[in-house]
Amino acid sequence: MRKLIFAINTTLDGCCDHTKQIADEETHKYFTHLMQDVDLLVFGRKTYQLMVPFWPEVARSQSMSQASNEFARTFVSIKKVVFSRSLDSAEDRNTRIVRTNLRDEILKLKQEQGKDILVGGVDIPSQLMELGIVDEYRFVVGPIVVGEGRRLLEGVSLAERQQLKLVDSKIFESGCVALRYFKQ
Amino acid sequence: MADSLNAATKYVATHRPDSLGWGPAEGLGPDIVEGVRRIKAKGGPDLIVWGSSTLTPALLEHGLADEVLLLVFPVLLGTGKRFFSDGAPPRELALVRHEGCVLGRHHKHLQTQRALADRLLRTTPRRKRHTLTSTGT
Repeated sequence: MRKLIFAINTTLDGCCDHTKQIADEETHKYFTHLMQDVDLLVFGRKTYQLMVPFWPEVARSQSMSQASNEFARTFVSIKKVVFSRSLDSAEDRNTRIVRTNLRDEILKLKQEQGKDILVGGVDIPSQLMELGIVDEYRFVVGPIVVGEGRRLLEGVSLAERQQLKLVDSKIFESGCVALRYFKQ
Repeated sequence: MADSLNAATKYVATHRPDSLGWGPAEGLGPDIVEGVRRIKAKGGPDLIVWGSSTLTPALLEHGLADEVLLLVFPVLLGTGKRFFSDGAPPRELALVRHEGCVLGRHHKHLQTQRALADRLLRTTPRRKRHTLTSTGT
């Protein structure tokens, strides 16, 4: 069965607001490699609109750093599913909008053939964590305290304490630490 | 560990300094921020604050922590007290050490770029660092 991977950048105090993160080259490379290991990206509408059209434009113009340009090209090349009730149409061809039940759709996708599935954002992953169907976590923790903003797991009500297993960790030159956990 | 704890001077935030039976011990005085500043200025070994969800935010807020050592456990809870309270002052830290291993623990050491220090368990030469740690099993 395909694994569902949730990956996100956070600050040391757990803030996951994208404007507060350290977006260094190594972080972009880390996420590019992660995307190369999956063949489906899952987002909610808000995260999708943060990523698109921004990254597809970078993929076309190749206007950023080498790491960001490669991130953009990889992002564009992967199929996407967006959960939204309000989005009329997707901007790119390999994106499908889903309006039905999140749990049923994800469980169905996990049963399908393919590589692993990567989910980003906050709202949709929060629901998936509550449902207990996230198989792997990637947290890239930046060495900053911001003291505000939405925190990871804020408002999430887990049915039970969830024990994870640390399987890998990496340090970036910026001081970010990438932690990889499996669900137990 | 027991010997170290017993031998170290215990600085305590308390309204009842007379009640400190586990010596050597000393009250921080009526103003804990001033108290910690005073002890830091005195010199001596580094200070350690171990836990304390009420004292720690006050020390962080006043920029008194030089080093944070976090042990991060591989557990998701969803609720509970947070180490950094809401409204913690924004700050950049420098990661100074990180230990992680697949089977066991995972440590991260970060150092604030400002100065601090509360003294604590004995010995270490006085350096301006603060350490946060985290762990996995």
